[in-house]
Amino acid sequence: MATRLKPVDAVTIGVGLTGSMAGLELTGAGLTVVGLERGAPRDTVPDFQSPSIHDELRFSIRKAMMQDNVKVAVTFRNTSDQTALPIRRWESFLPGQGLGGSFVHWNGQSFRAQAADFIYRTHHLERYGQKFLDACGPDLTIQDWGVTYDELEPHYDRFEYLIGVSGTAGNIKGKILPGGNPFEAPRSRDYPNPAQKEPYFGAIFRKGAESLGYHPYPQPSSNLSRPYTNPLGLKMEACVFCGFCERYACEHYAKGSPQTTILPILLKNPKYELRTGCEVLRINLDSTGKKATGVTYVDAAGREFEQPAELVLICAFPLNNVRTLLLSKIGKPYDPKTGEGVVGRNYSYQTTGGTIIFMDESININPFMASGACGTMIDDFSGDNFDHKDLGFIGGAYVGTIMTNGRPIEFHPTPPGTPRWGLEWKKAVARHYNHTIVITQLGTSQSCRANYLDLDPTYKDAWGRPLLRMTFDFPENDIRMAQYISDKGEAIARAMGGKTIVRVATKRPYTTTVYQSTHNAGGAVMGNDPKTSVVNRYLQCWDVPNVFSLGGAAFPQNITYNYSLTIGALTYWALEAIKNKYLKSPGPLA
Amino acid sequence: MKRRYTVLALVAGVHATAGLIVLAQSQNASQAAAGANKGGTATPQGTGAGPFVTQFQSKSLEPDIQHGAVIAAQGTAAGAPACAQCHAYNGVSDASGAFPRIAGQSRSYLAEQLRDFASGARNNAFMTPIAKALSAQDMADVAAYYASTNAPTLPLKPPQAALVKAGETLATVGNAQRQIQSCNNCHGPGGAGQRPAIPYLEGQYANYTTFTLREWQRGYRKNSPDQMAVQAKKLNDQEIAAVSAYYQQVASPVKVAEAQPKE
Repeated sequence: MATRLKPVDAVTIGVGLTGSMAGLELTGAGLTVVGLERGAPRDTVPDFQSPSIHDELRFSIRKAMMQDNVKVAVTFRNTSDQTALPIRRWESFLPGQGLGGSFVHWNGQSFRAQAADFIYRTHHLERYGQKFLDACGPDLTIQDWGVTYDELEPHYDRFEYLIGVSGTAGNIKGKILPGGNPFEAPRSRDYPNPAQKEPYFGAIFRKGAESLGYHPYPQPSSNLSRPYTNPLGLKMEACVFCGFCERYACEHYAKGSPQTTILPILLKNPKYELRTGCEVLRINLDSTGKKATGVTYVDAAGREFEQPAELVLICAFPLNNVRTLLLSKIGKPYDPKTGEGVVGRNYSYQTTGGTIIFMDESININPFMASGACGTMIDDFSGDNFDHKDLGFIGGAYVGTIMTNGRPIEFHPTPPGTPRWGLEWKKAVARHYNHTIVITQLGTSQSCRANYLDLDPTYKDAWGRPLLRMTFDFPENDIRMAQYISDKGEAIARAMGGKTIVRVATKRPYTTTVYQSTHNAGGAVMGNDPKTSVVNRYLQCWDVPNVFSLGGAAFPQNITYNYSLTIGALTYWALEAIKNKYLKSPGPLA
Repeated sequence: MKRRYTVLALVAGVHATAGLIVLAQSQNASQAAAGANKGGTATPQGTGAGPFVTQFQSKSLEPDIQHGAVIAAQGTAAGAPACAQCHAYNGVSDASGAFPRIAGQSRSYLAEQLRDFASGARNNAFMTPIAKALSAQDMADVAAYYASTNAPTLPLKPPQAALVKAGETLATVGNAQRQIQSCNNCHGPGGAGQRPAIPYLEGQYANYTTFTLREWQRGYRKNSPDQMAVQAKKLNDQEIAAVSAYYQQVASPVKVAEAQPKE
């Protein structure tokens, strides 16, 4: 039976980015906080040191930093009429596990969302009308977030300074600045650090994009361009372009992560206790079902504990936030047949694509000299930056060269027609390895009625609980979008002088066997209407007010960009509300 | 229904998605490629890539190793003395450690140091005037010559075992409390170097490593302000002595363990 532990003020389920932020803010407000992390403790020294951290087989191929899916997998199917099967090998998306969560192995791509993203439905209705939206797809369930960009701006700013984002501002308080992204929403001040140096492939892209009248800018990056001390007094260092960023941890203190920017302070706080190797089984509710009393978890030795807490924050990977809610019976599960219920509703992803350019041999790209988030890109086709009136879809994508590595197992570009193995393949790899540029497009994902998350009726985890089941395929709207943007990427590729150009864009059906994005979003979305959202605008559960669900699960649909910065801003926003409103008067926040 | 996918996993995995890992039906990918060629715009020198490329590619001089060897042995007519006077003809310098071992050091690294001595980015009373007397071609040649040498490591008396042990810890793991990362992160396993940019440390004389870490601390070396200057400033005298001792013996034919048997 579970051992009942001494009650604490708050518990976080997961100690990744949002869990670390919550720990720091709430202990700062005087609360006692326990962080429950199912993975291992780890730190820059000694765990992330070279050469072992550059083990491509271990980290990139065997996914050593990812959720242990022998214990807990996710099942997947494209449509409701299929039978879902467990994903036994992470490929399409990579949920992290261990102290620091996915924010350890992320790339550091650090974008703010646009103002229109937060009023998504309202914006599109005003600009294009209901008839247009119906034509894009009558099944789309896009909605407003309940929070505005202006409300989040101070939190974006604070988060950028916490992790030391390196970038070139394009819009400070409405003034458009040269060199930055002219489409970005106004920021209150400049980035804490200047943009990273432009790589050669970025310079070639810049030239090509400018020749077509687009507006190239350096990708904002949390791989730092120079040594930096964050507002907590933690020192970070400059990125050395080692080429081992995504799927790896940084050995140089150069990537914004909980380990570099939060944990050294938090772990010293006597009001905070980190417990690793602890799998939370469920959130416990009292007899009314309206109040959480704490959580039950199993430690690494298999012992079961009940940790009573006044406040429970779900700080897991978005998919796991949704699963925790479902397993704890918090909120009404979504039913795609009736469209009713909210938990699991509006699961969205990211729509990707791009162009591969095989260049002349005189052009040396040196792809191995790479940072996780260094590159040059355009926002001319992001979100609603361009007129969709005659296009028959909503949404958009950024386009840019943001190559992150030239690692030997993963990077060997060959043009179409090359054999898949043997001497000819080897010759082609040798010919093209150093002369290939990749243009990436990453874009919006609209939520729609058929895509959702629920509990699998068949498959269970190591503790006997149902796995999360994902039902997902790309809506037609997003396929049209991806193809349209791909045309633009191809035109830029030609302007860049590619010898051979291969164009690729998302197609149906979605498959989980190829990496696309780890921006799994939604499923426990935020909003102002309890009928269409799980949490309110402060990420507080409508049904159980002392439970908050932080992170990407709150996105009602996915934005153009990599979502980490928006998660950071939303988390600060929610934590401010907890500190300034909730703690003074616990209960539903208006 | 059977679909065939070509997986173009180019920017590999790429978490947080920079990654173009895109799937495309192979047929369509090929068609697009064919279309691009047909269009005729996808030529190697396409829109503007020609002059632009020259602008960005750094000039690299074709080195003459024979001429580099002559400079090493005899110096130059313009007044640079023979490198061999201090560094020896094979680049091992001497056991005093007043001068670094440069045998087999990365060509690009050596040439960069010569340029930096000449420009003042690296300020040294001996090397700055010598580097100023070398032309760009001389620098490329002599750097190529010493990069090509393959000289033995001198059998030096091993440093104290405790010092070496402390140095090994710093070199391979670092120090979590003081936020010092391992030297090998950049300088490679055992300090083997990561060519072309990062020099080897294995077998480097402890006196020289100590000296140059102090140069970083005091600002005489300014050619890696965001990396080496930052790292060096974190180290105290003990730690400098320890890493210096460790790297000296790591490639030495005389091992610490042999000289001081285990207890």
